[in-house]
Amino acid sequence: MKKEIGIAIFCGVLFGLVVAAIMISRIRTMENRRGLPGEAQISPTVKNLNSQLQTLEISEPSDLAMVSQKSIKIRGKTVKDSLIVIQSPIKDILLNNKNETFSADVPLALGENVIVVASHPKGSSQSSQEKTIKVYYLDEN
Amino acid sequence: MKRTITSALILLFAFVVTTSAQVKTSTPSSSQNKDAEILKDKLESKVAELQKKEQKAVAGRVSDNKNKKIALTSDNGTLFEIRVDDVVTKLYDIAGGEKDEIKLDAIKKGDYVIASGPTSDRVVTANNVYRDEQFLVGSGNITEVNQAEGYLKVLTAEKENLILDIGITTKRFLADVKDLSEDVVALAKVKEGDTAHFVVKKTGKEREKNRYAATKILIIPQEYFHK
Repeated sequence: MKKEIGIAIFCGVLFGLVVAAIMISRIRTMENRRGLPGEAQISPTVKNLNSQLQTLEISEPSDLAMVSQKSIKIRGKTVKDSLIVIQSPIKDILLNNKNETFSADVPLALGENVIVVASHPKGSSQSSQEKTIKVYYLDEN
Repeated sequence: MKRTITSALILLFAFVVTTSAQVKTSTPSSSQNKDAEILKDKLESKVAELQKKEQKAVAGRVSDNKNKKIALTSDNGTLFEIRVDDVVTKLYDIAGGEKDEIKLDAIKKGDYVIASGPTSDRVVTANNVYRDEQFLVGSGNITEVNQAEGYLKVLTAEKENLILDIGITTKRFLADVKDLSEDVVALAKVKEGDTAHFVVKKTGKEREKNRYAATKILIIPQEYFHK
């Protein structure tokens, strides 16, 4: 009698395992057919926004630079197609950059030259940026 | 005769030995001199290069001028000591655009001064000291246009409220963003919401905090930002 009960339990467990294995394999095949839910959400038209997040950078000249010539070249990078205003006590320069980079020759006054470079991207989607540098034109010859 | 020949030979030997010794000692001394000169030149150029690297310009308001030392406070509050030497240091006034030599006692408390020279640990051994004018350059959003009193209130990106007095001498321009030109503009044409780029002269004796007489303003119309 005990032997028969043991065989019945064994058969029951075995049947349960077989059913569970079949169900798991079916679920996996269904998931594979559908694809992963995470993958399904990825849009094929994702844009790289890094180019739009270009911050205003001035690569040349360095802040507090001491120079002995009457003008300097300002080079930098900002969001393309921006209105760039380069302002110093003696001259204002307006530029429009087709690329991210820009450059302009700025005349200097003898002594301290506070130069502000402001970048105004077109429209209201992005905010304006501003950088200030000081250049000392000291005629020490 | 034999003695004469012997003494002559001894003399000749002595002459040859001393001459050869002289040749031997003179040749390396001249090359050593050359090497020493090259080394000296190299050292001099290196020292000049290092001195040039250490040359800096600092600027600020004079807080004291005595005992050939000028105390200078920069815009960010850093205190510099400017050491003036009677022989080496040259002092100029460049405020009007011209460079005129001045005496040390002409530099008074409150003057805006630029000093250049070797700098070490906030001490400048000045080669040149220049008395200059200080300008403040910036931009901000116009929050108020007061035509009656002739001023603009501007809010800068640093959330600072400035009052810019617009006088007869103020150069006023409106930017034409299409052809990037500038047209002269009357205060009546300036609107709240426009962006003002400004240059003001900072005297340190302003009657009101954050209120300056504008030297120049350039207006970017707000329409540019709403396209």
